[in-house]
Amino acid sequence: MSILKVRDLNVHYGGIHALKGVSLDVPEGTIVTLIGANGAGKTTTLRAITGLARASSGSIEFRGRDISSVSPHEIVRLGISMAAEGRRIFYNLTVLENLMMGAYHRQDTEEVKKDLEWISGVLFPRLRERFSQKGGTLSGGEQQMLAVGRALMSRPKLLCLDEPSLGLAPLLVQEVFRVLSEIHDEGCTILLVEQNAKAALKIADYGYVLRGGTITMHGTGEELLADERVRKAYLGEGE
Amino acid sequence: MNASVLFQQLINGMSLGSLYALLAIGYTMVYGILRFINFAHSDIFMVGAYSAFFFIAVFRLPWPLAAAFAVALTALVGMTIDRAAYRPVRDAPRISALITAVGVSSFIENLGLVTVGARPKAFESPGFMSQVFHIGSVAVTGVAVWVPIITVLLLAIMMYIVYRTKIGMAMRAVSTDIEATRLMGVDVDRVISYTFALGSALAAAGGILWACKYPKITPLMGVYPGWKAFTAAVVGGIGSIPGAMIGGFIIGLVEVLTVAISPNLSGYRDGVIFLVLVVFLLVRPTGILGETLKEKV
Repeated sequence: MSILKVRDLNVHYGGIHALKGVSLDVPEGTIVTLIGANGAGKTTTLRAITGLARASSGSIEFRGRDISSVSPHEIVRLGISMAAEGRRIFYNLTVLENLMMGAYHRQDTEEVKKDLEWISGVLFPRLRERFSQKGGTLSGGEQQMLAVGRALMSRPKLLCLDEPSLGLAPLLVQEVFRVLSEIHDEGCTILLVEQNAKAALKIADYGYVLRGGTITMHGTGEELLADERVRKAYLGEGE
Repeated sequence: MNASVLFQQLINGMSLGSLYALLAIGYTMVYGILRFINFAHSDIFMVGAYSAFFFIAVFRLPWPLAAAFAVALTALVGMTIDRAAYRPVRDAPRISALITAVGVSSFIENLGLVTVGARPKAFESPGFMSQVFHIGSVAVTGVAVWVPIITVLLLAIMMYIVYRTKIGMAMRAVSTDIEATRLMGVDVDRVISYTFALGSALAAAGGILWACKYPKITPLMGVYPGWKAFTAAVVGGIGSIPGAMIGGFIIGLVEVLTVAISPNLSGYRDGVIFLVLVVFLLVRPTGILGETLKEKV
């Protein structure tokens, strides 16, 4: 069953028709990835889902409810959280405060403690050592871990990730993808936007290829990885 | 100038400076979050003084109760201004918010002139404010002693709210990145509302204490203190709360000491402060503790 259903989504901003009728499904418990070149509309799709960008037409249904006109903070409360592009760490807050911001709307203090334990103890042990440090003092890789950890602190039913591997050293990219599978194993549904198409398709159950604001191809991760056109255009192979 | 006169002037400077500090916090907090100068903040200060005046003179409330009600009412006025005037232009360019602020300021001042009149009203300050203290050979008035003490207490409460509570954490988050804060499930408009309430409450306290020190109040009483507190916020580093406090005390001391050192300059006391503003804007626009924009890619 699909936890997220996007149908014929159109988004305009600043006179640009950024998304032209995008439709996609994210089944519960899966990893779905959105790949494509710069400016294809990947980030805009995530911004529309999280309420930061307004759809001019079309629908976004989350667990059976249309959320296309719900405000961003309400959407988080419904169970979608996002680690946005560029990490967007609160550089003047401590690492612990950054994580607690992720759980801002939650009332279940005990469960929040458990999640904090899991995220900072098991997933990203490095964050624990840096609890009292300001977010802005972390390295790029640590900031990315903090951004993902913070998004998880809301205990989302759907986790959206925008370019989590951008600008990271290869070893750290592996680390991020290892953590994504771990989060997935815990039962979290993930919608992943990536430039690193190869790594994304490898862990994804299903993938969509965006180009010029429309979906040009879709299929299982394996199908897309094997597809000639995908290999040429996005995996840098051939010719 | 001998030591005891200097000591007395330092106390006067601290006392005046704490009033600027109370007012400067509101400028810096709003700037930190919304990146515009809330010109109406100086009029909030006036509203605080008048509210206390009416609670005392008309409703005959005991002093502490009148002050508490006045602070609460003024906080509400601050929230209302945000809701009615600033929220509608939230997504417009910054310059629109700035012009709106000038308009709101003008509106409140003129509303004051129409409703309570331009004639100064005599503010009844409580007895302990006019008591005289003798410290060695120095005699200081109660106002000069109590104002800094009350200010420090209020600033401590404010610091506790901003740095130790959940809503304070959200205020600091909003000042870094509004959109990222939205993604945390935070109702940002509400946080901004609380920020206005907190800043306005401090301005009201400043206005009431100002009226104790200078007991003639008029609808335009906030104008000059407002500009000087704005200067204090710039000197301390606009956007920085500790900066606003430090800036406030510096401006208060500069003003009092200018007159003390050279009585001939007393007519230029305001001019000296604005000279400080100009110098800082030219030499160090980020102020003493101001954030230099750092971005990490």
